[in-house]
Amino acid sequence: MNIENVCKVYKTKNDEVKALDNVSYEFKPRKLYAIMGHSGSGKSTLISILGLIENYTSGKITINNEDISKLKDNDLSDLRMKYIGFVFQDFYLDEHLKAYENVMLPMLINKNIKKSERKEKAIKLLTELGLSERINHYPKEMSGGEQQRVAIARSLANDPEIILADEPTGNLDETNEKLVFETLKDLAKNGKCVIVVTHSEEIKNYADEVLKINKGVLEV
Amino acid sequence: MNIKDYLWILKSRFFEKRNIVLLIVLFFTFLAILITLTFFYITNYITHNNLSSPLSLNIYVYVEDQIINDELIKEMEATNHVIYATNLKSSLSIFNPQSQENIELKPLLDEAETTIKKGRIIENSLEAICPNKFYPDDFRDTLNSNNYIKGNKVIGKTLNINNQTFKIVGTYDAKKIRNSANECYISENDFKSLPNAIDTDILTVKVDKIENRREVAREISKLGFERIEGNIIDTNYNLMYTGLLISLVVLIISFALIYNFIKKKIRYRLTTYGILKVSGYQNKEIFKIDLLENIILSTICFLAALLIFILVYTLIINNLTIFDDMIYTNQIDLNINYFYVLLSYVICIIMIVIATKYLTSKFLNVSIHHMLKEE
Ligand SMILES: Nc1ncnc2c1ncn2[C@@H]1O[C@H](COP(=O)(O)OP(=O)(O)OP(=O)(O)O)[C@@H](O)[C@H]1O
Ligand SMILES: [Mg+2]
Repeated sequence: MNIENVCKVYKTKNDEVKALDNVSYEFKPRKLYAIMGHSGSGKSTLISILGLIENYTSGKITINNEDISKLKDNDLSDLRMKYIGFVFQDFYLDEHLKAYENVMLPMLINKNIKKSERKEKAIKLLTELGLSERINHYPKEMSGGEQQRVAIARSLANDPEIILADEPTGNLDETNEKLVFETLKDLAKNGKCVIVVTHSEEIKNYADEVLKINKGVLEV
Repeated sequence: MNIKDYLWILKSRFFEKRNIVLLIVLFFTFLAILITLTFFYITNYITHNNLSSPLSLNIYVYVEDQIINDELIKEMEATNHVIYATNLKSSLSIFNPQSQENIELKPLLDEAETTIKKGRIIENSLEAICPNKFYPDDFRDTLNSNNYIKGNKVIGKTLNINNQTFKIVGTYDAKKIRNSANECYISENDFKSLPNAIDTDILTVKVDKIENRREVAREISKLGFERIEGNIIDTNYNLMYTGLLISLVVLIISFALIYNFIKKKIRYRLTTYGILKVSGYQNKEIFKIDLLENIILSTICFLAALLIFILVYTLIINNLTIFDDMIYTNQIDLNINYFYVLLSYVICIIMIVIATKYLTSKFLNVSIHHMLKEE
């Protein structure tokens, strides 16, 4: 995944906020990237643009050499399904669905996964993340760390090449934080491109690259 | 994604609090729609029934001191737009010893005046066309248990009146009319032979169309008649327009309610839908999930509302005698009209589709990042 001169300007009623200023970078597979910076420096904005869930004002983004700037909403949806897994600080699990059902949710639109394989695959992903005991639990019945790992399993449902996480450990204690970072590190080892936004210095023990962002400018 | 997948997503959140609220709102709005549309149906029916009733085509000519002979009647019948002119009474009430009640006999001067449901039209003398069901004279009696002629099949039975035996050869639908007068049609000649069949004061002239009444009245007055009635067009549309207005107001309020509660639900679901979009769902798939859910909810509510409506409505119609009189004078069919029921359902579904379509596209067409932060 490659970004070139990406800018993002938020327009409010009588103000313009430049959240990203000419950001360029090439993210490679098999690596864990950490993005750090002060509050309001543009981290969430950057990772949302990378995850194709926020539009950008100017610049060029390519995924697997495909330019995405001219794609329509539906095509972006397809790209998200194929390439991108996203993990949020607040997990955003569906409280009405059990753990494995939450993981199955993204598979429903993936034609490459047969209906009969969905549940099996969801259980496999959860087991790999150490949640074999929690498969049939509802989010409310799990700890924050467990919920976040369910969310990571959900982001892996369609085998994306890129995993993005915006402060995934923001709501977790140190033990769970380490567990999540380790999980992300393992994913990078297994060939994925993992990008994490975080305030935690702990990430430096795991990340291959640490990128600093300051007032919308990426300092490599 | 197929329908089973959509249902799979829906099943878990079906009894979410927001949906329960929506269920209750939909139930009451649908009930209101059913009630007002039925009210509109009744006002509409009454208005058009007045217009289309055979009586509205009649002109009444007062004889005063003129001599009425067949030639004069023929002359009237020769006038443009006149179907027939007659000095016969429109009906005679005659006691029937069989049932110990009066029966109303009418001359069948124009075949269009009755619609045969079973059997045939009168072809010979001493034949009659009767209602397929006879009702008691007094509406306060129970309607069903008092069939005038016992048994279901009226055709083939006989009426003994005035020492004459009439054979019933055809029936018309009486259920729609619930006419306790129990009117039977007989041929013109049979009618003439009854005592007091001739009206010495009034001639009845039947016109082909309502619009032509005035012109015919003018022609007839040239024959020297001075008092002619029934040529004033006085149809009152106010009742129907009131029904229409009330229906429209109720529909608009209903739509506003439905719109608002669907909006609340979608707002509440923004993160859920946001996550679906993050996972790669397209807007149209989320719209379909939402629409399917709303249609299922609406159908449940509609059926519940319909059930309650039918129960209450039939209870009212069958137990309050004031309606019998209304049915009789307006010749209205107060059985539940399933066309209007279907129409109500279609209207409800259209409102749901419009509200869902508009609201999903409104809420899904912002950046997903924004959607997730919105909560
Ligand atoms: N919808 C918006 N409208 C206007 N300005 C916005 C909007 N979203 C973010 N911003 C501004 O853009 C800048 C970057 O925001 P962003 O959320 O990326 O910061 P962040 O680095 O993630 O901060 P934090 O660490 O607090 O999460 C901030 O100055 C913020 O005020
Ligand atoms: Mg942030």
